[in-house]
Amino acid sequence: MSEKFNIANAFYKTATKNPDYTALVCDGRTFSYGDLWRDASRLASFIKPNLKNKRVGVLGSRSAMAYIGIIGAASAGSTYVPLNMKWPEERLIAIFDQLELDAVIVDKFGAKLITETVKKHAPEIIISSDDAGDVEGVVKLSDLPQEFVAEPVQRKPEDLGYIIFTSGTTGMPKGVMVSNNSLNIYLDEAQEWCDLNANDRVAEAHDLTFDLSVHNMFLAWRGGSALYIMSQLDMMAPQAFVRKHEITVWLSVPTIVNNVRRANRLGPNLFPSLRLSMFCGEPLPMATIEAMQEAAPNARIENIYGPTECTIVCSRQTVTNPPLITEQRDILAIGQEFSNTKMLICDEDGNLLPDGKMGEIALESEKLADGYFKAEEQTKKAFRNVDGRRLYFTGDLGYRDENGVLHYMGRTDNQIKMKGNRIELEEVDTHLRKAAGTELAAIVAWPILEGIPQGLVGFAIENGKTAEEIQLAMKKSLPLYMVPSTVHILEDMPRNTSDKIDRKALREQLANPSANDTVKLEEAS
Amino acid sequence: MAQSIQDVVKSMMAARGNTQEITKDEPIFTSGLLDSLAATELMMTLESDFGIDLADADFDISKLDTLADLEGLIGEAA
Repeated sequence: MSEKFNIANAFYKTATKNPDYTALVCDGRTFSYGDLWRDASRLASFIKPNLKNKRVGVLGSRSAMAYIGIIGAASAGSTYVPLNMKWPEERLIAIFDQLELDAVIVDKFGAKLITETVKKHAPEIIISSDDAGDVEGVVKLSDLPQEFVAEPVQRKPEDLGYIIFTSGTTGMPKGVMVSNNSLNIYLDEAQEWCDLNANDRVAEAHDLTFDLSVHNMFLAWRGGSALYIMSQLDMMAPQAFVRKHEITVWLSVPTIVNNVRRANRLGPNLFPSLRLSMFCGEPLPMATIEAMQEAAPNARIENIYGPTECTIVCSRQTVTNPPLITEQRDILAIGQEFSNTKMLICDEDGNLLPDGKMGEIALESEKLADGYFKAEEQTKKAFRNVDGRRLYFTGDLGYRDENGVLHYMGRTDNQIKMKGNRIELEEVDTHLRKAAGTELAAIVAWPILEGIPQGLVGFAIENGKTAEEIQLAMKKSLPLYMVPSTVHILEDMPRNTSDKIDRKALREQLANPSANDTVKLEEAS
Repeated sequence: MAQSIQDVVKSMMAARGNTQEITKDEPIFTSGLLDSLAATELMMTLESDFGIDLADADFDISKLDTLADLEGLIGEAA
């Protein structure tokens, strides 16, 4: 790799070679690579002389301005930092204080979050999209001087490309610092098996705070593909979005597709345009695969696995015929690691375990993140030196089978001890899903007294089965201590900002039964 | 029908602690005023209480984003 690098180089190259190619379709508007580069290079020219810490925030998502902000920040020679639009004001302020940004780019919804109080903690330079409301002290994109950078400012490989915040289990989110080099290593690898080109229309289902968005946009830009941004509403009808835009490449958490399936909105050959369909972020159930195979007969399906801390993704399993499944969970295996990463199975003390034994998945990789921003303690806890190797401990449980294939078995946090029995909540999930006949089901440990789980509670989406029927079916396949004492049938399953089933919200529903707005149809105990 | 669509949206917002007035043309979901969970809830209400059929795979979801859109949709079906 050359010593000069900028994560916006690939975008710039396409913008120079093929400025008329479509780069972005968003809110019903189409932007060519040339269009976006004009705005981004203007923004970069304005930001460049003001860089001190080389960190620029992007308070926006699912908008053209957010993407202009990313390309502009990177081209100016800065790290880009997506800020979550769902953070409450207090958290936004805390993160601003922590980050000491040189500037922040806001779209029209981001601009609304810049209140008088927030402004006191925000960087002096705030640039908004032209469609944003007027906010004092915020300058609009079209009011910037007509000056442009000729090309992205080159940086060092070890400089940070981006900082993405992942939810911490307690308190504040942690900013994962990913270098230019790590992202480059990832993209080189991913390009080989995704092979995006100028004919591809890539759907973007994620907010910029989720690093699957990094995969989508940077691979699309390398290939000269068009990125189609889904609005919050499009997320409710992804099937219509894929059909309308004849999307060729899809990537999401399985829950999004499961929702469509549940609403009976999937059917044979609904998505003939799809050629590649990737799932990540949650276990991929066999039922989802079968539904997708029927709906998208021309698509290769990939299950990809990896934490933000190892730069997006580090292993992959293609759906084969027959598929390689993790039988204990009825989900697809997570496959084999990329050549740049070693996946190790460790016991609680970090000792390596032999094949076939279940333990925590630890990663050794050229593309491991540098750690968490200004969080030394948390960094030390997760990134540990074991026998001279720097390993990231994922908190995921898994094992490697005799063929070298990795199997995901759940989260270490979801492994609980109850009345002397060790229980993996994901294992109980598998049985609950079967019994309830829906993928939208989850088990939580509840109540927890002095840190010790006292029982299990199940949640499942309404699917024609009563709570008692579900419990009865589970009793047939599980020891009694693993059968939830209560099953709540819900109309909606709460999901977190990454659209995964939100166990924390489920626990909160149990803690504050009156505060939840999810309609309970029925419950039994 | 017991409730107007405006009331439905208002009560959904109120349930989330938001009592602000919204105009007919203000985006409700793409603006983040209501989340995706609320959109699901609203779609179910449209189907069950207002008799709107949203099963068409090509249904244009952007027709749900403002009160004006929603009233238009209900008007068409009536």
